Amino acid sequence: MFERFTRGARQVVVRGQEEARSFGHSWVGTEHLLLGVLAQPDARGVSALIDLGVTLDTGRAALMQIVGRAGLGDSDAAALRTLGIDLDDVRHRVEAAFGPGALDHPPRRRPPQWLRLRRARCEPAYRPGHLPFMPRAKRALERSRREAVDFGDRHIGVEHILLGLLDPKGNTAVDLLRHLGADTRALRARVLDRVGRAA
Amino acid sequence: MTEAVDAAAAATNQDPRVGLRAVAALRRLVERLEALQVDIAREHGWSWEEIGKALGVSKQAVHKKHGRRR
Repeated sequence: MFERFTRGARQVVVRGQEEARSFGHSWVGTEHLLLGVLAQPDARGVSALIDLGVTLDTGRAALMQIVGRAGLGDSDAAALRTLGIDLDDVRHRVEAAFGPGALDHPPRRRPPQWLRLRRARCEPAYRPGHLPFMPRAKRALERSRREAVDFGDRHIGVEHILLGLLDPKGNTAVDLLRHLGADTRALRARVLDRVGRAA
Repeated sequence: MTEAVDAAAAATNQDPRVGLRAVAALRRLVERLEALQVDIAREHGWSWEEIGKALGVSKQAVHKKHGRRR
């Protein structure tokens, strides 16, 4: 799948994994890939996002609000406050007892040895730190491949991934962009404009 | 504390959207705390039966929910 990806496009995927992990998420979704795109503001087409005020920082803040850190975000904290529960206080107490990140990062139990051995034998590419792609993230990457084909481009670059993420059927990246006030249809036209293609 | 009580009273009387949102957030918090405590109990060698008893559910229920998690 990744053979035709440019170095920048591969970096989007790697960075997406890192962003997912930093949020304590156990999956890579379109939202994390979008952050991976935003981590390369100088890549082709990405300036269209930056101009709308969608940056790595605002993107992360929006993700924190809509998905949250391991399911408990700022909006959860606000909701819990209405019940008189201070989420930060709870987090603080849990971390004091069980260590940093105990509430947000579920402690991963080490798989039993037989399972580790079987994985090592059957799946040479299996790495314990590798997070699975969500179906819509896979779909976005497939869409980016099609974008490249439609343009007659041989390689899949950051701009194709960005266009692939703007899925009319919707995904979390699209939700995140809407949250930041960006209209994804208009955004597609702007991205195409930046990379020198007619909309 | 009175502030918290006021807030709770407001949330229970107000717009159901606010109240339901609070319930959803509370549920997520409970799920996280439960996962954390079950993992710690397992590390301490507790049986599923003991954990179920402490949580007030059957050992089958607790094993089904947490047994496969890694």
